[in-house]
Amino acid sequence: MQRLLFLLFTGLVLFASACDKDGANDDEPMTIDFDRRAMLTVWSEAIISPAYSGFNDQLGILQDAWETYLFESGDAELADFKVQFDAAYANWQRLSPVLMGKAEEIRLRAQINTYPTDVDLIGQNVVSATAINFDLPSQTTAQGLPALDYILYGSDAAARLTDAGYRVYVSRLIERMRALTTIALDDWRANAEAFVQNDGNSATASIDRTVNDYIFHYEKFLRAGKVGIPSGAFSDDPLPNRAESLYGGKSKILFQQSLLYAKSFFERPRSLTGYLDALNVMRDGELLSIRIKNQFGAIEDAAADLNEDFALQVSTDNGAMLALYDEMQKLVVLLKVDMLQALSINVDYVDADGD
Amino acid sequence: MDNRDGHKDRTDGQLTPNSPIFPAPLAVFRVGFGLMMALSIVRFWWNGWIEKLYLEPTYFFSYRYFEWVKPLGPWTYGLFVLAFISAIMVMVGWRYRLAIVAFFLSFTYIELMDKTTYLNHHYFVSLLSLLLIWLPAADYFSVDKGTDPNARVPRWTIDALKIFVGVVYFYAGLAKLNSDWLLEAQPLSIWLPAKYDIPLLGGLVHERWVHYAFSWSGAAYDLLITFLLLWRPTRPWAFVAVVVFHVLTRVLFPIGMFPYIMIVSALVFFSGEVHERIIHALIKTSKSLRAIIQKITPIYPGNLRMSNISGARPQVQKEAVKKQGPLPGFIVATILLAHLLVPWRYAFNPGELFWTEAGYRFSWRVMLMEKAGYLTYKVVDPRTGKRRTINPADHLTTFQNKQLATQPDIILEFAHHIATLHRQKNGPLPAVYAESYVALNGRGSRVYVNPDVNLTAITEDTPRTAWLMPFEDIIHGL
Repeated sequence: MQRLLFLLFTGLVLFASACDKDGANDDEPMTIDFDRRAMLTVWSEAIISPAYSGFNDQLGILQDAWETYLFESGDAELADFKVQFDAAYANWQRLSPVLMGKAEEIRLRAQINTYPTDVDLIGQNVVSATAINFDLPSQTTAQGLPALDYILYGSDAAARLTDAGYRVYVSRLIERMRALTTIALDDWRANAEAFVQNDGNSATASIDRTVNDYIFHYEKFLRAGKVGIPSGAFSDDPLPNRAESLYGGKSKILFQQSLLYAKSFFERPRSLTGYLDALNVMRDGELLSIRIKNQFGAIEDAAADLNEDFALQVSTDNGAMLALYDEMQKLVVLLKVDMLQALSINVDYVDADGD
Repeated sequence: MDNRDGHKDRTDGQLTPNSPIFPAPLAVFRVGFGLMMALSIVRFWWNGWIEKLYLEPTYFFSYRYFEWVKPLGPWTYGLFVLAFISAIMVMVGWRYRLAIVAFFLSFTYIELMDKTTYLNHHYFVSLLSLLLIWLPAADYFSVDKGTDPNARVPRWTIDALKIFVGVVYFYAGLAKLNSDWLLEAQPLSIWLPAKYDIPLLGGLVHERWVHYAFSWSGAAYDLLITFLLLWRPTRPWAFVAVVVFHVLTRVLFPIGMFPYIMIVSALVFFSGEVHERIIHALIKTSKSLRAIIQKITPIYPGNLRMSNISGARPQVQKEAVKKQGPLPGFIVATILLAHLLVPWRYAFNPGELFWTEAGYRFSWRVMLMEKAGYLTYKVVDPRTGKRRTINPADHLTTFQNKQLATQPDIILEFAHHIATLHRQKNGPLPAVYAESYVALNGRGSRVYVNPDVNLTAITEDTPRTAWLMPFEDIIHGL
């Protein structure tokens, strides 16, 4: 009897320790009608890779447009450069939510799109005799798309665009963005396969990490960055100067593009919507995926009538911005509380014991 | 009453709580406890949790009356070292009383440092180590006392441990007698489908009937296991069930060392004979270990009384059992009484327990709720009327922030802290409101804290129903 117990005990302990591993288990077939590995494949091939290559390619086009303008210096070339710049900013909205790994390590998002940009620092950099180290955290606010936004669209843009110092600066900024993006892109390509293989349920597996990054982006950059901070939700007063595309005045379209990518990431049948529906997640008598989809709709409606320039909107009618913020806030709760709970995805990357 | 419990029992007269009994079960329990504790501490350190939970945060949530218990900066490591060393000393039974007191104090201090790290099995360890101070656990198979075949302890010392362990299971079972657990199979319906990648069971965990099977059998296990362990005919099978149950929960849930601690604790229900066999096995292992050690290191400390553990030289003692005196028994009885009564304190608080959590801790409600939340604070300056949103994630670690969102006393404490910070910077006491949502056991997220209540006007003694939104559902049961 005791020997039996001992053998049973040992066997079970070994079983337990064997089961307690992070990440990959590729032996078991999926037995519910939802394929998690297919979801990761969709994310990888239909969302992340195109986002990287889209932005990367557009930066190449942008550089060409700039060099053409430098060569010709005509109005047509400048207009084309502006068009390509706007396209680059739009492509960025697609890439920003899915930055992981190396991209986070090199602070890609911070160096491409930190706003408001520091106008004085840019001015100093332009006339500086010594070489500027753009890797320094202090230089984050003097580079990237917002810096270009200022140089291109700010007051006295014409003077800047013909100034030799600023022209060199713009070339450097574009080169830098290309270099950083290439590093992140190469790393992604090298790891895309591993990303898809890592389809387990641990906190370090791909599903957890990607969903956490997606929600983090929605909460911090889409909700707070584009709407919450300018409308003064986090400060005593509204801060119109903290809007995106402050000089170009195209905040609304960037917002809508970012929202669209967030929505499509969620709504694809083989993405989170499909996952929630396969688990039949109902909340208060309705499919959670429907509730989330409806809330995306409510946000789109709240943004529809806003001014193209959020800075202007905040200054003239902040109530409408705050109304948009409230709708976005409801979605945070649905994603962060209801959805994460239903999918048993941990918010913390490395959990301690739970009881 | 069957007398085969300990073959060296005095069989004349009736069995009373003070009847002498061979202390093998107590010794094995002590060794197991010390070992489990030492391993737990190593694991805790190894996972980097000392840094993550006690060094990284800049704010710590205190228990009432224990606000003075805070991490000690780099000296915090010292607490863990102390706990580890005393656990080893308890295991080998060297200076037992000193060791177990040191362990109790250091472990409990660690637990009191931050409310957000509360775990039921840490409460179990604290209370158990308090109990062990008053039990003669080092009277046998220890460095202090060697292995005296004539050693005896009063029967109640072992029964106290059986009661202690039994109450934990039984109360955990009672806690599961509620409509969410039994009728909705919540929260297992949320947790189980996530374990799709474990072998054997992974294919089943999304099935509804599996959720109900686990819920009902979990409740049945908790309620019945103590009795099955106490009754001799069912004892071996009950122990098999213990092992299966705890290993299964270890695979399914992130509950650390708790399953192994409970498996080792359940051994206490076995008879003295079984424990003697365990001790003989341990002695044989230690002999071979010693032989190996002596082969490797020629210098071996001979002043420790390890030679006594060979059992080769039984010392004959005149008195059969040491007089314990009334004090340990009285204290143990008091501890057990508290152990029985404290879990019921929730009944004195209004509102739904799962919602308000008033009296939820220290009641053996183990893995009973899935509660997730989202919380930000709104601070309003009374002079200017200006308001701003404060995100607690900017002040707390991710771990703390997650605990904050669903536990009212922590929400309240942090609201007061924010008000204090604001007052230090800006002057008058602000009004602090919470924008807070919680999803409980598969219900959709709901507003949790009443957004119109100024939390600086609320204290720990205000009934939680006064400042939380009413819970618009009914959970039947205990």
